[in-house]
Amino acid sequence: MSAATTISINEVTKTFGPITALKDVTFDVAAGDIFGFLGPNGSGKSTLIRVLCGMLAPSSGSASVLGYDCARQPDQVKRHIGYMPQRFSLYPDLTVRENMQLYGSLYGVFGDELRGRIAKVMDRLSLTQFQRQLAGTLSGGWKQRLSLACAILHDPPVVFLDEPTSGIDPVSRAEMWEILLELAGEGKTLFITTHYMDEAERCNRLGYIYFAKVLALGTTEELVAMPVVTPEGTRWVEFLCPGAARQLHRILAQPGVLDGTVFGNNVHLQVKSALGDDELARSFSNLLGEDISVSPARPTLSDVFVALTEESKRDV
Amino acid sequence: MFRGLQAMALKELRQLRRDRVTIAIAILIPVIQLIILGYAISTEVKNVTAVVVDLALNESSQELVLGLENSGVFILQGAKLSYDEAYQAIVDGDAKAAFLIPPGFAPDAGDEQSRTVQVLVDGSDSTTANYVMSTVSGVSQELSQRYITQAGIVGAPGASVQVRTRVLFNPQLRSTVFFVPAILVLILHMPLILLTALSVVRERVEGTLEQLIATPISRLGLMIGKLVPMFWLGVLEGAGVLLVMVYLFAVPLRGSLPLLVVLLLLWVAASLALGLFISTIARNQLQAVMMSILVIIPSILLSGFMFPRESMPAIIYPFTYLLPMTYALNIVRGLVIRGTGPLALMPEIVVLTVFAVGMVVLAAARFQKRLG
Repeated sequence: MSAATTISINEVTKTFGPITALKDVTFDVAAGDIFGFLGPNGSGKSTLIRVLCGMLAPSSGSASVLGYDCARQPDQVKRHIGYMPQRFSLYPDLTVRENMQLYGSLYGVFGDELRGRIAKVMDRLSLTQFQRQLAGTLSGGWKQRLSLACAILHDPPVVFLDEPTSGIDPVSRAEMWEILLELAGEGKTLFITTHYMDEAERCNRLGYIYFAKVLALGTTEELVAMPVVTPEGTRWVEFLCPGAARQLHRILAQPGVLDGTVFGNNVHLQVKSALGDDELARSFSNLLGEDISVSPARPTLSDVFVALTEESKRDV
Repeated sequence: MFRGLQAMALKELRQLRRDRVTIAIAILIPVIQLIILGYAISTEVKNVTAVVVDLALNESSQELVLGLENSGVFILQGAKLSYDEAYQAIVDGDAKAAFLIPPGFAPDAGDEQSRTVQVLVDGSDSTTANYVMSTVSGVSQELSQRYITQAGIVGAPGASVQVRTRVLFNPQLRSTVFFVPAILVLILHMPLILLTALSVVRERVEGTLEQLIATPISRLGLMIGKLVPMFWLGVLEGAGVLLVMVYLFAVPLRGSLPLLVVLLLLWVAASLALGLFISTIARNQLQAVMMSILVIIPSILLSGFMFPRESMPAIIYPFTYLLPMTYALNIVRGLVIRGTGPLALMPEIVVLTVFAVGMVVLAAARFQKRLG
């Protein structure tokens, strides 16, 4: 473990009876990273977070956070981290302030210091106006904010966030990310799970888990450059085409087109590299009756995860 | 008007079918109730422990003792006690009645005193006390009758066994004296078990536990922290019932008030601990309620709350010792009605203390498992 390693995970396996939730998971997260942990529902994301937060002992292997062993020193771990669960887990029948007082005290912050911290965090998350409101009456986005507020009240160097933006509107989501980036700016290490690819791209390192196994680790650029995403003899292209979604099935049926999807009016395709841009442009222009110009494209994170998942399915 | 009824009923049925524990308990409760009510409980009084102080030790006294024994009502003990010891046995709850046979006891004795059996009866339970008194008078009449017949009409015409009864603690035999202290015990038991069981299960079901256990809170900190407000609720309840008992129902407190308060707090703690333990077994609120009822019903029927435990069949009797309320009733009735001292209550106090501590330890152990 290097000095800059904040989270270290070493061959962690976790089984629940016959179910394997984590299988030989090994990776490190460096101090100050925004680590994005992705994977389908039920793939083991929340289980790993619970292991790292000292709430669940791994069946084998070991993990440490800030040098504290998650299984043997769970209380030390818990003291130095913040945890924001996937499901809103604060008391709906306590006010915003009362919930914060509870969690501050549980982390050993009392009196004037607690008042000061609450004021600071409320101000930062714009929660002050709601401080006397019952937590249960807040809307989804504000509940998530309160949840985050309670998780960072004791100023932990590491924060685990399990789908912090699930089910909230885009504006709240954007605001949430502003706050998260600010926290990262202060040097906090963030461990975030998400299903949103745009959020994944905001993370400076990513991990992808599929059926208990971590299939890929690295920066967005590293993941996108993985050979599995662009197997030999293929490349990625894109072109603009009004009403692209209606034409997609015809485009995919063209010879040399392997895979593809649509973003608005933008068609994003994996094709045989034998076909040049001009050649493709001609064939699509003919097909669609429009003047099409094709340009090379970078695979998206989504392409990466689809490719990894496909590969993993083939291996089984 | 009834649109959707069928769909709703089907959904409820499906949900219920997945909650096997609740169904099992729902079936178990009436069965247990039926068994207890039909089998264990009768208003007939049996097995009343009584002590005999036989200062005569002659043929007549033996005949009297035999008569009492044959009535089938009493379990007679300790023939060599003094009067004071016999009285103390009743105060301590070891006996419900005492028979004092004077020296030279004989139905045809010249002086009234030698013909008179003195009977001390614990008046706490008016039903038992009345039954004891009528049994004794029956036995004495029979004895007198036999004596007259044996001696022939020529014998002493005035031959008869006199019975002088003294009802202790509750001379007017008011049933409130018996029931109000017991209600104090029940009121500190039932709601506290339910509230505690529900409150912990609620944290689990609503997911708030998830955030709690991510903090450095200790298991005991979490559990005892949850119990503290309930404890004070129990204290308030207890104080209220105690005041009503003394001032509205005029049930005098014979024992020490500080001791009663301390022991009621112990009882509150034991009830909370039991609720906590239930909360670690129950998976949802409904199960928590059902499990609490499963404990409370036998507690009401078998602990001596309504029916004397001594009269229950031998197969059921040992089970009455499994209920914490049995001990609490002994303590509170003893202290309030008879003024029993701490020493005599020690076995009950020890059992309740062990029970409370044991339940908390068990709950803590089970709680850890549930996180994994």
